[in-house]
Amino acid sequence: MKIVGVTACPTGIAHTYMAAEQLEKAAKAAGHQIKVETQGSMGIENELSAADVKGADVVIFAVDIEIEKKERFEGKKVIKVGVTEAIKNPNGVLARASG
Amino acid sequence: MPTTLKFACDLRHGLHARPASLIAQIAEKSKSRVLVRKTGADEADARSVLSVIALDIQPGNPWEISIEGADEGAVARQLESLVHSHFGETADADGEFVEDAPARVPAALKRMGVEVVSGTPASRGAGRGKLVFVRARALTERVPDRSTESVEAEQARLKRALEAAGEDIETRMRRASGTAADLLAAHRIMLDDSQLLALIEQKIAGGMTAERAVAHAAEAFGEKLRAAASPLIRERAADVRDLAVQILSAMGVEFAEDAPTLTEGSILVSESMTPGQLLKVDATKIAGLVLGEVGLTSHVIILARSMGVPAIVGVPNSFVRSGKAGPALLDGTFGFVAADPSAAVIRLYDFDVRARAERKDFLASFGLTSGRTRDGVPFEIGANASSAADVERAIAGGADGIGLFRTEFLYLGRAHAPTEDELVRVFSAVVKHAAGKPVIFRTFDIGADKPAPFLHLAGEENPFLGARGARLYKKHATLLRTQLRSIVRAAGAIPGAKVRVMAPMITNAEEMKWFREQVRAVEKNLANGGFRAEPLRVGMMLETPAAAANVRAFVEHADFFSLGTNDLSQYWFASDRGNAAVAPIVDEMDASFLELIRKAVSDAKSAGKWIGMCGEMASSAEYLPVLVALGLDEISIAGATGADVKYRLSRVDSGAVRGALDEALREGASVRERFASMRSGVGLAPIADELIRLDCEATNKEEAIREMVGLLSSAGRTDLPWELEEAVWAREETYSTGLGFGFAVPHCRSRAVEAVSIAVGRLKKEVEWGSNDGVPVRHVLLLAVPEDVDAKAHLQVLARLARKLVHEEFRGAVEKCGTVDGLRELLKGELGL
Repeated sequence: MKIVGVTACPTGIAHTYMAAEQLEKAAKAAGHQIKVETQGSMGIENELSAADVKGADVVIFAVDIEIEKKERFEGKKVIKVGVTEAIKNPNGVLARASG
Repeated sequence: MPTTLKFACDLRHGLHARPASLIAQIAEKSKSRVLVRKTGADEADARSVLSVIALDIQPGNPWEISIEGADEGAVARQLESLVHSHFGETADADGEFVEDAPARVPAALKRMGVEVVSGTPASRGAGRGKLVFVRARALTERVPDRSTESVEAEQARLKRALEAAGEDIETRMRRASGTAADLLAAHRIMLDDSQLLALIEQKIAGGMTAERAVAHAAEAFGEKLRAAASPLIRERAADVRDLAVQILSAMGVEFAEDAPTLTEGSILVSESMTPGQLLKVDATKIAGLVLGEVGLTSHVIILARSMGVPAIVGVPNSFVRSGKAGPALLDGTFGFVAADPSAAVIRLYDFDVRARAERKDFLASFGLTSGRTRDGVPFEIGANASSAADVERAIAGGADGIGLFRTEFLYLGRAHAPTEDELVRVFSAVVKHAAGKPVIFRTFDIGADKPAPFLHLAGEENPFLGARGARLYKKHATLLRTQLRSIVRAAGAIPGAKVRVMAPMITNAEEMKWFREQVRAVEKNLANGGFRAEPLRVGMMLETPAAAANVRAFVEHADFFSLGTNDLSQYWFASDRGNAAVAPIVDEMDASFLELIRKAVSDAKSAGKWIGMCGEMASSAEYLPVLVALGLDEISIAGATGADVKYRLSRVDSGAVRGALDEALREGASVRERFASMRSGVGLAPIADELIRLDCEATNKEEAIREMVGLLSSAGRTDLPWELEEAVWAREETYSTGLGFGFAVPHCRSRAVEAVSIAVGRLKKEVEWGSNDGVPVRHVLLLAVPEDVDAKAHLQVLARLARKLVHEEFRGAVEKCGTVDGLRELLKGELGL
């Protein structure tokens, strides 16, 4: 499965990156392809291109705030969870995305 | 019609003593009548600082100055520009004590819900002990009961005391700098306050003794000030009292009574204390001072600072008079006292005790070796001194030598010149305390602002441009030779002594040639009498532009040079540093001045001569990198902080600063700005062994943060740990930095830290941190980033660490790591530092 994701927490200091790392780690372990964009205090990093989004089977938002450039994902299947959930239970989040 | 200037008061604390004294300085010199008026209310003679501050002009209040007289226009322009410059008030950058420092409570204590009594921070540090209340008696109760002599005799007595107190303040002013100097200047002006003096005179005329008149007048004025709305103005009552104490002391009134006998560590509480009282108490048992009506520049507070006793002032009378003895904790940094502190509060403060002791050891280690820059270039850190005790303190504080021993203090204010034997005694003690390190004696620098009554110097129109320093030597050759003889004798009497002598205020080569001949003649004379000593090295101050610009003319006669930047700068900029209206023109970082020094250094060096600097410029931490860049051999600083300066020096890269100075001067760019962006901490590794502690004692979040900040302070990464801790808490309050998995990353950006630094602690006992996963914290990584560093570096470290934390392997490796260097290497590698 091809997954793209966006993570963003209120301070954008740490949890954004922890969630991204957890999702990447779990997805790779499960044999999925994944690319996660972080919207943190350093701005948007690892930004998802239109092609990335187009080619994805599912989009995961692990966010506690409104994200930027949300229009890129219109029409896609989106799973939305909180940042903490992605950190604590990335496999559960992936399961929901696959379902 | 008088000229009237109208303003709205935009000073944060109203028209208080310092601005009022600046207005008074101008009014004093003018030929016009100058009045300050609170619009729609009272008015006061601008020359009376006390009356002006008693107007109680608050922020937002409309107020006016009216000027009427011969020089009305010029005076109005001066006053207008003074007011529009906000009286030169700036934010207090280096955390000095200022009269408007807000009383605060550290965030950690607020969280613990501790109740405190607030005051104004006056002497840093914290102390714990039993509250001991000392009753302060009114000044009027203290003056001796004696019958009045004639009005004339009482007036004469007053005049003598005023002069003595004035001289004392002026001496302290010359040794002080920054805010303290400004406040002392305000004291000096208050001493001449026309209204206060008029009141004293009036009471003497009414038949009171001079002592009684001073005491009554001071209390009357104190009452008036205490009625003001502004706490800052109420505090001036303390200044008036302090002034009265100084005047009365000069009259021989004894203030040292009421000193309590202490049996254990105690915090003394009183409305006011005098230095004599404090000196009578067993110093080893004083844990702190809590005073009501005492100013920040009072002798007792300056004494407390020099004794390292924490102190706060301006606490409410209700506390001072409560008399409720019992244990207490005093925080002189934040400015509060907490009665009956809990075990938790005591534990928190015990972390400071440890950090301070470790920091002291760390800094002291720099004093053991001679000064060197980061790239190994020798740069001596000498100290200025005026007494044998100063020398002892400076050498113990890590100085490489005494770059300036001022001998004139042995002459000032005396009716007769000191005898040769007296001088030998003092100089021998100086040489002995220098413990084999070099001492430069500057022969007496008298004249201008430093008069010696027994010389009967003629009054001069312009003393700073008159007969002073070496210019007096030919006329007073015997006095000079006596001093030189005593220096040679002191040098010869102590084996291994490295004694040099230098002349002040040399302008041309002939003066220096003559001075050198005097030294040699004295040596020859002593040798003829059988006294054998090595010839002294003979040098000169560079403090006239003529000498500094033409060092080559002197190299034949001088073995070394020392830049006296106080006079050199005021002659260079043609501005009196003591005159508030022109003082800002003196800017030691101005390119013209730096070029002058650079040329002097280069001329001295190319002749193979040693060149140092002993003016105030040498003592400013801000200038250190520039002074290194100028290529000096030495700087001689005020105070006993040699080890501290050597530590800062060890951070300076001489090549880099020299490049920056050359470039700025070549391009005509601001040297100050160029150097402001060069922080001394550049090049320090963010993680270092001294920042890692594997057996942290903290038992809660508050303690853990304090312990980590303590590590940064012990390792010299911050001079303002309390400020850093507040910044960490400010960040912590927005969102917990507990990342889960037992890790917390408290962090902040703050001017209080010198370089990007990570303090790493492993706690013996896990503590609650409010993490998302509810797991208590065992590892704390506190990241502190200087304010002027790009935030990105800071955020990247945190992001990298956050990503690592979700990997069990990383967490396991950190957990398993049992040594400091192991953990250092692991974190450096994993975080890419």
